[in-house]
Amino acid sequence: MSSFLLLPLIYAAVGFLQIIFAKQPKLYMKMSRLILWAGIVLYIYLLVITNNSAIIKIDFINYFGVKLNLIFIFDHLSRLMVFMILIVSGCIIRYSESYLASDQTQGRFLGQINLVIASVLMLILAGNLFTAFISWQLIGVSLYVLLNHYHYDLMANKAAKKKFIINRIGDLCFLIAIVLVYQQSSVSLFSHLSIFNHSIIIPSLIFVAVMTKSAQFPFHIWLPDTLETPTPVSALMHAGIINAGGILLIRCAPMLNQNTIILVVVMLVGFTTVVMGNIYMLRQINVKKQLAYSTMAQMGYMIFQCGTGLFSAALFHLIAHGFFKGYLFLSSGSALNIKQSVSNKTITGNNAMRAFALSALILFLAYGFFVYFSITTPLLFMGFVFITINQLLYGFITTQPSHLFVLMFSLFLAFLVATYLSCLHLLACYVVADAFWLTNISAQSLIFSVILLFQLLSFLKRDSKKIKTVCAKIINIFDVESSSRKLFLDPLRCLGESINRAFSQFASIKSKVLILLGFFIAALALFIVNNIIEIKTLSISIFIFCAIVSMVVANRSKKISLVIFWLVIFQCSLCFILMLHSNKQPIALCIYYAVNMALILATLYSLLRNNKSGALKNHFEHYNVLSWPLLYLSIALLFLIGIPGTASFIGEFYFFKLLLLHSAGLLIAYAIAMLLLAIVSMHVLQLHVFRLNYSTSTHLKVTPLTHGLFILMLSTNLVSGLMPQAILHWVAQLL
Amino acid sequence: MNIIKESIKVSSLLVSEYSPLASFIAVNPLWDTTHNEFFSMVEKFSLQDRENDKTLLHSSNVLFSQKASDIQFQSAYEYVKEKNIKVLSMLFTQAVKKSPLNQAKSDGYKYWLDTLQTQKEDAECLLFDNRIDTLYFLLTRLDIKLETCQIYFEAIFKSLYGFASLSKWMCNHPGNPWLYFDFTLTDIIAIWLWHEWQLAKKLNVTNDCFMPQKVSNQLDLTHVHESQIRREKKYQYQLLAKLPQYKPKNSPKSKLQMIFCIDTRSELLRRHLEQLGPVQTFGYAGFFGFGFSLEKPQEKITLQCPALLTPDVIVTIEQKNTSVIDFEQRAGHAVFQTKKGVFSSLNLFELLGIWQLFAYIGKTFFPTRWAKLKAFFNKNSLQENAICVKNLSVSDATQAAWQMLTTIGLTEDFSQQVVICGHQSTSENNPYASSLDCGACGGNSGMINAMVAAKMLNHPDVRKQLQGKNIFIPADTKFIAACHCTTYDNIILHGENNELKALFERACKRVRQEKSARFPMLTQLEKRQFNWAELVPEYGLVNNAAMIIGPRWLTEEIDLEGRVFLHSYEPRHDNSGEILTSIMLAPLIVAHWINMQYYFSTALPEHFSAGNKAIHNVMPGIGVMEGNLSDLKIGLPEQSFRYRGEILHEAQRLMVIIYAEYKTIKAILCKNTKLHELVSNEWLFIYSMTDNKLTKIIL
Repeated sequence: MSSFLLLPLIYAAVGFLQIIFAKQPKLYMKMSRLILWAGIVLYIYLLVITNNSAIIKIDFINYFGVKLNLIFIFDHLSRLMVFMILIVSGCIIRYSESYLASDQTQGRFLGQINLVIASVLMLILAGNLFTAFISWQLIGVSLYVLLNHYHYDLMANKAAKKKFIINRIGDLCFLIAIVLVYQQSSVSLFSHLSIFNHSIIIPSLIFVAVMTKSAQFPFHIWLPDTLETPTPVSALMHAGIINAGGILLIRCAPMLNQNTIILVVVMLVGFTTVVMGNIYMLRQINVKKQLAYSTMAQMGYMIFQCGTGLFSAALFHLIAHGFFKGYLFLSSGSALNIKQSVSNKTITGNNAMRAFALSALILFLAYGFFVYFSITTPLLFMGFVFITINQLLYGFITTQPSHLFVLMFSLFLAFLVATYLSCLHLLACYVVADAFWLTNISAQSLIFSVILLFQLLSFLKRDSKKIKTVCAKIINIFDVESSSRKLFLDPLRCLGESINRAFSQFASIKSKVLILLGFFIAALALFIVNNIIEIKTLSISIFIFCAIVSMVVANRSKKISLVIFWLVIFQCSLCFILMLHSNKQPIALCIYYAVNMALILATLYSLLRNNKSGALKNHFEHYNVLSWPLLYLSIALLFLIGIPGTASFIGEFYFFKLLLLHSAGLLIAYAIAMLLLAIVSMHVLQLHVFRLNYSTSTHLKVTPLTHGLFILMLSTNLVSGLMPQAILHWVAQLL
Repeated sequence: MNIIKESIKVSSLLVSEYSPLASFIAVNPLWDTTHNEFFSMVEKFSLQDRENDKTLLHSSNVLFSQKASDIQFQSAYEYVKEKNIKVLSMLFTQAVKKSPLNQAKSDGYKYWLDTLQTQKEDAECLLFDNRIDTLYFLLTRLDIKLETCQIYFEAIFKSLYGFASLSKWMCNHPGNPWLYFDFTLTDIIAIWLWHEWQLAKKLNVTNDCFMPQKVSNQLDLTHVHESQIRREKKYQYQLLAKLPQYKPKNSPKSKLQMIFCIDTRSELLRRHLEQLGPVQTFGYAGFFGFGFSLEKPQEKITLQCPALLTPDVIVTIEQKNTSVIDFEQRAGHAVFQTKKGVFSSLNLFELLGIWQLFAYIGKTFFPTRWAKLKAFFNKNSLQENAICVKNLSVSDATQAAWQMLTTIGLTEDFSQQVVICGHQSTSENNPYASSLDCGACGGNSGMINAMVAAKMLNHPDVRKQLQGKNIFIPADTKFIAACHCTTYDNIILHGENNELKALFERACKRVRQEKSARFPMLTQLEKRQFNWAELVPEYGLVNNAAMIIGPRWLTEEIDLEGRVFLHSYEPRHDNSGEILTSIMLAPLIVAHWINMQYYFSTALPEHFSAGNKAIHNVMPGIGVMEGNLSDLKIGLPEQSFRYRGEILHEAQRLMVIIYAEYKTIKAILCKNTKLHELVSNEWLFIYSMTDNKLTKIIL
């Protein structure tokens, strides 16, 4: 029964093995063949032996009063999506076997792809919010590694960094939502989420996470920049990973069903994304960027469908779009030759009329057929189908085909529409239930007429200059990236820069020690005052403020010792916050947290302390391997950020829980601090690990002490993260 | 003003000419600088020098990073370069001809000014309509001294090498069927300077920051050059030692004569064919003297001739599509139109998406079978009758035929069948497909050229006129067109002839064996033709090193390892040296270009190689960029000469052995300044070889 968990597990195992054996082409090639067949065979086997309600429950965290379970389910939705991912990923793996054959990094590449697939599979199988969150983060991290495949390339690194940071926003929102959910009741399954039907905050937080993953309008900026990795990665991302948001939304359908306000917001965001994505797409000059923006628009459509409550349509869309877009990406090399236009471009009213009449007829027939069998689809979506069919027929008729061809083409279209509608019906019956709330015909027709107007505008005047200038202006106004930089990042950077400059003027070791001492003394004073008069909220906000400032400064510190110094202050402030709650359980957690942080920081410091500068080596020869120190460093930084299964992750969880008791403002401040931490870590990775931007750079040296520290850090972190209870028991027994 | 013009002219010599990728033609990227010594030019593009350029363009880097907080991790150089690339790629997209009718002259500079105005309302459009005025204005604003601006311009061109090269090509080939725009190198400088100026204004950089100053810590590259010279010498001795001294006495009368392209890939096939049967082979430029522009229905015009020529002849192919293909094309057009629409694209993906799955799986897992399935619907093979030649008079055709036959020395003893064998490469989903095709046919398949040549040589009028020129082709001699597919190494024979087919198949089998022994990574040759995931369908002309212009007996039965261009030449038909001149002015130059293309791509990959093909991003109609945004990539992609870090191409200059008298060759070299330059500055080496003497030509 429980063997379906093997699916992600074998992918993960093969992925790790391939990375380890990246230097033996024969071996990793065999493994990638194996995983292809093993995946399919296992899937078929699972289909046979399991039923719709297969479920696995694993206790993950069970202490300090909160029970967190990992739940995996293998229902119809999972089955369908697993099938899709297996096919898409199978094709992509096969493709990259030949595609990267002359690349030394092929083994590592295949391994990374398999890890990403494993985490996507895990998300699909996830049965509750917490499991979904864990896989959500795993996707983020593994995708970061994959996007950073050519880690010696500045552009690739930047894109991966951007993706990671935007993802982090979603992660934090998701985490807050989960904390809120567990605060109110310990729900165990997605289907139990319906008790939050009237909540506004939880679904909207989850929707923000969805927006970051599925590249919705203000958060789309990471998507078009991810072209610095080999084509199969783009294909995988646009066919599989980007759908994660949609999957989550569909899973959360029970919670959204009656939540009309949220659904309207979802619908509007989706619609904006459609329009913006298409406008951006028109301005692109290379194929892959066009495809990337087209994906953005398609994802917008998927979200739009979710917003109207047609979850089955969204599901079908993401599957069909995945196949199509994956294909388009993989064949993007053949886009070089511009096709000679077959049509002569004289638009005559006659053609347009013929196309219109024919498409109306086709739809009428198909729709009538379905109505006859009492299967109905909302008129709104028939409208979208109509636009597409009309355009198709029009395009076909302008090539001046014979009547027979027109007939054949119409029949072909009718067939397509019929299959489409029946697929939708099947999905709605067996996989997800729809909650179409736009039953009001006039509302539907209003939306549809707006869309039709847009369509007509673009149809008539696509090449006219006015439309182009309007598009250019819209793009200039909504230049999300530069405006967000100007509004948020630049002030922070200026602040950090100026503090750094002021600090560097008296930055001797003595002064650093003095500052640290002052910080501790102030903290102690705060504790004492806190015990006398109750000013908990105030002291917490002071510490959070300290944390934020330290991160702002660390962001602009160029010396690694300075960065570590600020990180220490950051972590100490967080520890103090935990200590302020002097009841017993957080003390234990606090000790875990402090020990882990100390170990991580010590590892980081010991790694970076030994650096000496020298000329940059030619990366070309050695780029297959990420050396041990770099690996250590990256893992330590990821632990610091809070990857599931580590103590810092649990700390993060508890922080949200604690701060929720105080005020929402503190919660947001803490989230900002965590976001800044992610940014700082990414900077450290870029500057000191991948050594970009420097013509001379630091060579890291590993001493036995570092090895020791790293192993200690890894083991404590994992043990305290995964099995904290066991240690507590063990300590209790010892005592 | 004049000094600016002069500096542009001088600095633009560094820029290469790079055609759009659809007609990839190998060129020597530094063709205009051959008046300099070879290694001095190589040094000019070394890595060290690039760093110099960066500092040259921005001695203000340090200052910059303090002031511009949002671009701190990006140097000012990268920042300006990125801005420039965005503008240039947008401009070049405008230049792509959508259809042959779209010939209206558009002014690139004006277009750029217009876009500036639309983007910024407040646009400080102080720019002048006259380009030189604008340059002068910007240079003074940036406080660049006019005397030093030449180094500055050179640095700009080197930074935007791809786009500069494309624009140079566009200016020199106004009649080309791909791109049309009035856009010169001056505009590239203007755009760069404008962005620089904007940046300077934004940062309030004071004037003296943009003073060009040369950093002078040159790396000493002499040891690198010396090792290359040693390698070249070694190869030259080895090759010369292999060649026979005297002509072997009696050659049996062969029953089959074949004319091949000079391409190095033909060498293998020729050797194996000769070993298998009494076959006499010749080498001639792969367009066989018949260059033309080819018009196929629903496809772009292709120029089927060497880059040095512009053809007058037009060949059209009346290809009747089967109805399935016709239907597919029309439907494809409809889908293409629908994909562009804002809302019509949304449901298209749903309607077609799940059906695309079949193509997806088919192309990935069963590429060969998928291609065969497609071919099943597109059954029509090319018929000779379908070819319609316009603008070619009988006397012109006779001249071309006569030129070919006398050059290769096939003026008597015609066998019953003479096969004219062009070559082509088959690959799927490959933007660099034309780099593997026949360079003499303008980066296209040599099939049609072979067919036209065969058709003309079979033409009774042409044969009659040839008789007037003392070439008597027997009435039972038939010229047959064929095509050597270099990916799978098979020969497509035009027409039915089982005997020949069997012979070809046996030879090709041996070629494949030899090829896979040389490149063990080339597995599954047949699949490579159709596999859409294949970045390297074949290794093309990798490892080319020499060219032999002379009769075939010189090289017969010698394993030349596919490294040599073989051009047939019979000195006894050429007393005046005219034929040799034409060989040295065209095929020799082409071979040199190919050689230099490989040389520079391998030796200076940062500048002249197209980088990693796995992250290439196609700009339709123009070329490729790398990743998100980069300069237009010119040259060969890394994968075509590198396999897992191991370099497959030995970078060395072309060695040419000519079977002619020392005096004749020297006279030709003295007459042609370009050739003279090439030899005297050691861009290539020429050896003269006669029956008893071998001399290196030193000028």
